Amino acid sequence: MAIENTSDVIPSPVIEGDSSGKKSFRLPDFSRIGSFFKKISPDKKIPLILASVLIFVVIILVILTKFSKIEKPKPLPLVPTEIPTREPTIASASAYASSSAILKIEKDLEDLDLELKKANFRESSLLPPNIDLDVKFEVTD
Amino acid sequence: MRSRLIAARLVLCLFFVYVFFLCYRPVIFAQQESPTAIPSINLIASPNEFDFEKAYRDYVQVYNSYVQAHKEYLLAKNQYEAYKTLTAKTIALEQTIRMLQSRDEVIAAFLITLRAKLAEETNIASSKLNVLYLLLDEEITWYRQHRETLTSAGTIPDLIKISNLAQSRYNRTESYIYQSLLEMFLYKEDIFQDLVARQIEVIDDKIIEIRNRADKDTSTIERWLLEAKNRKSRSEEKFSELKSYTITEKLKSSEKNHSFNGSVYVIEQGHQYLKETLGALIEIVKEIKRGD
Repeated sequence: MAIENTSDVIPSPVIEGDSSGKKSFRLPDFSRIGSFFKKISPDKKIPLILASVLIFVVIILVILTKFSKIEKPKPLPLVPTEIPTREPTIASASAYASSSAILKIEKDLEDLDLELKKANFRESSLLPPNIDLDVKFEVTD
Repeated sequence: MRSRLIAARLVLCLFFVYVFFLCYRPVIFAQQESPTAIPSINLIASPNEFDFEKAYRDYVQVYNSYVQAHKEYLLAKNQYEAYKTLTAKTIALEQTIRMLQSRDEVIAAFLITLRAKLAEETNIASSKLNVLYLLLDEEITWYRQHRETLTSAGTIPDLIKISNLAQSRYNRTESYIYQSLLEMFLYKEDIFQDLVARQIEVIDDKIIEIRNRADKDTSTIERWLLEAKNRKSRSEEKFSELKSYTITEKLKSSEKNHSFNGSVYVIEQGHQYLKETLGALIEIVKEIKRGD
């Protein structure tokens, strides 16, 4: 049986005026809900109940998730700290700083240093080749 | 129409001839005197004709040929051992000859490269090096001759016997290789020792000059120079330790590889002290340049 008007079945709060003219609030008559279910055909009852249960569960879940949110600790803002640096000291140069003899010694030393660093005593190109010297046959004539 | 058919047949014939020549590989017989498939660049030129760069390039090329020949030898050997057919046996014989010839070429090419490097690096005519040149030349000649004898082998056991000759010879060759390398390294280090010693002398003289002028405090740099000299002494100790090591005898033993590596390690230690000496000298110069 189709429900034509919801006001017929859902009880609404009734506001009535008493003899003194004051209006009083009266709770709806819930006993009428039972009659509403009775009016619904049995083949539509089950899907309706299921849908109601589902909606109820979803609402409960939404409420739970909203309240159970754990607040993550916010990372502290990075404030650049100043690293103490030593003031560059301008070394005073000696009388030999621009001496051609000293500069020549320095240049010779640097060249020699490069040569020493280049020296390689494990050059793979000069190691004996990897060859198969053990020639054997399991089958012989 | 007919002429088109003839042209098409001609093109087809030419295509088949082309494919045939692409696929054709000359068969190398064991008895053949000089198989054409084997490159022999290093065996034609005399060792003196090469500089190191060229010799090394040729060595790499020959080594790559050897690797290929060795792969083919292993394949042929496995097939012969598995199937024991006459065809497999013939192929195994051919591939073994090819591989052994290639092996001799690799050793000869390596010895030529080493000889070229020795001549380039040392550039001196010391009696020790002359002896090494002679020994290396002798080895190169031996492997050239050995390569030629391989073609005379008609059976696999014959081939193995000839191969074993090279195996026992290589023991000696390897010892000469290590001796040559060590001589070269020691020579290089000797030069470095002299150069550093000369720099120490120059700086020593300069410090005396500064001290006499009395325009700079030399106490720190004198102390540093003493430290540099100590490191140089340690470096010298390492080399004298190596020279009194009877390297040659050890390199002839069965543990020559181990002995060679040990000697190189000592050279490296000495070289490290030399580098530290030079680092100290550079610091001394910087200190001389700095005002008090």
